[in-house]
Amino acid sequence: MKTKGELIKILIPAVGGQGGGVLTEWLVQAFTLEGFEVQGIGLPGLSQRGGSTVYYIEAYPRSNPHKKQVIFSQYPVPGDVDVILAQEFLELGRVLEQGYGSEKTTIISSTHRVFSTLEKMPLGSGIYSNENLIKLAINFSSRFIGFNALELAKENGMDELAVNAILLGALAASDTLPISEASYLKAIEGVGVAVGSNLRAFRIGWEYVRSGKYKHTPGTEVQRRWEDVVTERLEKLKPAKRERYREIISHIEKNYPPRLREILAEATFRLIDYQDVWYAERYMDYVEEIYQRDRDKKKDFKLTEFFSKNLALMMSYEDGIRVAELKIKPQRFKRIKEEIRLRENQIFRVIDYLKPDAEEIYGLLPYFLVAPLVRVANTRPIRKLLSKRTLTLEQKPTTTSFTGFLRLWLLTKLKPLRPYSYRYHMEQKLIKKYRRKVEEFAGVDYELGCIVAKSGQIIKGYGKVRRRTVDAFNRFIDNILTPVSEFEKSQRKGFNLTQEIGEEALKLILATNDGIDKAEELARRIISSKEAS
Amino acid sequence: MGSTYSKEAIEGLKYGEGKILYGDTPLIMLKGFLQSGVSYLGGYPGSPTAGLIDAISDAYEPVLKEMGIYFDCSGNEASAAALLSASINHPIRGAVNWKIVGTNVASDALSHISSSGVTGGAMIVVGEDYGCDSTCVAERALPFALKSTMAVIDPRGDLQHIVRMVEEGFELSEYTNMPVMFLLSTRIAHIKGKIVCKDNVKPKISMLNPLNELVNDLSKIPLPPFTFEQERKKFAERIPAARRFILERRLNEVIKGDDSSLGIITHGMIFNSLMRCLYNLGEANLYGESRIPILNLNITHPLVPEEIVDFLRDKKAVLIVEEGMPNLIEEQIRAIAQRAKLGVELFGKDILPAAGEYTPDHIIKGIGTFLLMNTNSDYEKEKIKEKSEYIEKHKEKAARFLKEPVTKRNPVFCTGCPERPIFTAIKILEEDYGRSYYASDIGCYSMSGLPPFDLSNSITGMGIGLASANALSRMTKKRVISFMGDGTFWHSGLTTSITNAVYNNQDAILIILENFWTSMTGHHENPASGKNMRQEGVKMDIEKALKGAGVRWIKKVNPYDLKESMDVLKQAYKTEKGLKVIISRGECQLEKTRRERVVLKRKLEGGKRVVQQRLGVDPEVCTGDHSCMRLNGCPSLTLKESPTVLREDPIAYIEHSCVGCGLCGEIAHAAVLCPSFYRVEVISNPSILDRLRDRVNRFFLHLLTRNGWAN
Repeated sequence: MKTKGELIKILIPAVGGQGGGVLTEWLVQAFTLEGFEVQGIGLPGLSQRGGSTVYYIEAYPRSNPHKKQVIFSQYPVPGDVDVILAQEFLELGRVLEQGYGSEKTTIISSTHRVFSTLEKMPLGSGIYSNENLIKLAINFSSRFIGFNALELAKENGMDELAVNAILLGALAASDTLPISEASYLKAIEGVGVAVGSNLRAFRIGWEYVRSGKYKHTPGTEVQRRWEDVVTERLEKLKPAKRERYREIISHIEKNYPPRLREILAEATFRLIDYQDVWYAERYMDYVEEIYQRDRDKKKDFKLTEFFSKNLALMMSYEDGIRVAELKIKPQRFKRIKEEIRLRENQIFRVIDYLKPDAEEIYGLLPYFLVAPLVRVANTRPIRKLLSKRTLTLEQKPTTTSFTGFLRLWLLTKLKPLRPYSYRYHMEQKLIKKYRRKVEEFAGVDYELGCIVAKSGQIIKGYGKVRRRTVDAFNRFIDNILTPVSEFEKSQRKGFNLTQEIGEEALKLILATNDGIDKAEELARRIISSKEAS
Repeated sequence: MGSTYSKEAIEGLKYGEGKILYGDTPLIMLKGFLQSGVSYLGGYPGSPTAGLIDAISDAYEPVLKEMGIYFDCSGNEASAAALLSASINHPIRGAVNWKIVGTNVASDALSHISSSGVTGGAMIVVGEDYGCDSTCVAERALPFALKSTMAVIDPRGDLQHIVRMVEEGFELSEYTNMPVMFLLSTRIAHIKGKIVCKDNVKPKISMLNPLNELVNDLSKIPLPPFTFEQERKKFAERIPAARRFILERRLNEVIKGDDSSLGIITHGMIFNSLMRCLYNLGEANLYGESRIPILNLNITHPLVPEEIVDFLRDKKAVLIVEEGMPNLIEEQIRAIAQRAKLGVELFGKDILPAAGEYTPDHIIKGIGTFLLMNTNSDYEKEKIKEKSEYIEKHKEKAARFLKEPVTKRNPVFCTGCPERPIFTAIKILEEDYGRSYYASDIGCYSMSGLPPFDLSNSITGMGIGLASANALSRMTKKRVISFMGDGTFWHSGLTTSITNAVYNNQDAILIILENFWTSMTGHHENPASGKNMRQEGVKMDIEKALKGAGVRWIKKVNPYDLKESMDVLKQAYKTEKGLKVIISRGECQLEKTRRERVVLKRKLEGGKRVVQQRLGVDPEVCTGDHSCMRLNGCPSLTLKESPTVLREDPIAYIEHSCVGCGLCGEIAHAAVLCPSFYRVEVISNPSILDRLRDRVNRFFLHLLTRNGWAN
């Protein structure tokens, strides 16, 4: 614990608008009650709109031996902060990156994340790595108490603003500061913001740290038991299909390593639910083909893992039937009711925003009818005529009403006809290409196979977004991986360059909408520079 | 606006001699004004002085009014500066405030008033923001004061000291007949602490005690021939008077150190950081005792040559730690030393960074270099080097620790914000119509230049966005779109941008985002709010003003109706000639929620029927391509792990903080994105009809599904 004779410096990194000001105020008052001279500083301004912000506190005992006024600094000094009390994990990372943490720092931080706009925007995942943040926190502190205070608040029926008082409670329980529990409590009362619930939240944080529970987090999720994985899915299936699913499961158990089992169980369940058992069996056949290559490697089955995940998603492509089915599942309404915390005297209605475009609609029609028409429509004059118009079917059905429900329910009844649809035909073509390319590249080089298998991840979205992502996938294979690998093949020096470019290209494609253009440009540039040298 | 300060805090403003007042800088500054006997206050809100306006407006009814103090809800900084005219001929004290860039708007009035000179104490609180923590450029107020001859107070970071400086400032102003600038830098403006109070002074001339006779002094009017005499007085009388006053009152502070050969001169809050750096170097203690003598300038204009010479005399080397460019303090000190023919070697911006905020790491490195140059012992040198470089090395170590830098977090439009949908609409239309030239302005909507929108080619100042595109728009084939808030419209946009556009037949689209509040500064009333900050009703109408200015093409849209906005935008895109103004009207969501929350709670508790809505994303339907995020930027629309192990990338998720504005659903429709979004309407305390309808509905649903809808 800091002794009473020292200057105490506390830095509070926060996200604007999340109550960091109140947290600062509590500490200022608590220090005052303990007989400290104290200065608290906040920096609102632009940052109050959800940007990064910091608060800073300095405190010094009034009854110091020198009997003199201490000069406070308005700026924290890197490497010279005693306590960092972080409201959010990325913001902790930010101040640590700026050098505010050191071997004299005690860090108390919530590990929950408020994602920043830049993290939300990429096509893939832009979320900053939690492991990095944990590493930073451990390396730039003498003591790191990290736990998900938001989760804790929610578990106790409180909202995100309770995080502040939970952290204050955690700080109190950590005995880092020479402030008595009574002073903290009095400060919360004194500041007068939501006193009742903040006192409760303080207690929750206090007990969480005192009991040592925080030590089990972060990131120690219990591996789900295999039996649970299976039963959970069995229960969701129609009774008629359960037996066949069980058969598939025992096949998986017998032939596949534990690492892949949950993925395969989920994938086959998804496909039975999506179409039928035969569809899931076909999936297993496809997986088997690729798994052949992995089995002998005795590695971590990366190839099969990427392949089986993306193949399942491609095979369960989201068409109108699928969406209708998901929209009227009983589990969906149960989930919504829980999310809105529906009470006794309340009624709820769900209104869906549906707007399939022309291709999504005619995609449901039989292939033999649509294919010739599409061929005509794709000729130049007609295309020109159509290009300006996007035909869409905009509707906002109240899915909880009989009429709205009925519309979607009728659509789900088209499921048996799906394998005859135009869209199905086109999707199978894409799947075939994916399978063939994974196989082909894995045959040349295992790592390349993994990259191709992984690239299936690019394909997602609906309507024009999906058409764009499918296009990006095709261009990735045809314009990047194929030419680069062929170039390297002619050099006979392995496939390091292709791996490197492939990974870089994937990163680019998953980052922005025009990522594929940049990736193609990158590949072109590298090849031409290599050829020149 | 709801009040920012508690009743107790505002009551504290009435405290008398010896009582202790806890509070933040704005409250304590206001206490300083009251202790100085001000008769009027005014200002235009902006960071970091916005808090001062909050404090004044909260205190108006309970405290100021009964003391007869006038509070002016100034239309802009020029109107605020103009208030100071009251002090020219009469012994009336007053203070006005604005953010740093507001000084530019106010400068016409400031020049004239400082030429005339003041009889009563006149103070201008300027929110110095050299670290740019708000929408402003990095510039300092000091050059303004120099060219118009005003005194400048730059207090160090201590609340008690700040109050003293406020009081001394008024006296300085009266003693010298100069208006006084009081710099309130960002960090100083946000200190929480306490002061020991003095009694308030009731102003002799006030709204309760009006003047019977007016002084009419021609020599105070800035017209020839009087202007020449005024200019002479500035330098022959006012500046010398100020120097006498500063010395007499010891407004600048000297720390006598043991080392008589070295010295440091600094100013304002930099003093606090400097002392901490010296402490960390082992050169000073925490109580303001230092080995090296220090001269701290609380008054940065005018400098007092005698004081400076006294400090520099017999010293070998002195370091000037001055934040900001141009480094007028350093240059003046160099001139003073040269005139006095002192042999002292001066250091300043040659060893410290020229521009940028002076954070402790910059200062400590500068001091380190200074000490190294003036130390002979190798042992000492080693020690200095190690200590002064520690921070930089530590910072580097931390910065290099991770290969991948921590992702930036830029400010965003609030959940439910009525301004955001317009930018979404423009973004969606970009696909068909291409990018335009986006001339942005100052307000929350300045953030449209940040991700995810990236819709800003220029920001040129308050109310000037549209005008700024006038020349360029004639030399490019791009369409010009400018954004302006209602606060900005009434601040200066109407005259500077709109009348100018009509007068010049500018072809452009102006989108006025009318949200009825000056939101960015913390929800201050503006002429669109229907009342002023004194809570008196006013009627001002943007549309009528536009019509009066000769704008023909005016359309109003409801921002939450994305389709309507897009249609109107398309019409504007297709109309080539003239100024097209779209007024997007929707109240600032924060303010609306704050007000409605109380009403809602009362209704719910009273058993009244209430329909609330929020949006959601079906986790199974969302494929995680995040197109919705790239067009939206709502804080409550965020990411979550996908429910299926098959999907590696996170999916979209709407947090509980959703206010149900429906924009995300509208985007999914307008941009034809995906069927993942849904809206839930929750009816609390449903009527009998609601229940009946629900019962019937469930009966039919059960018939269809046989899965328990009947419960």
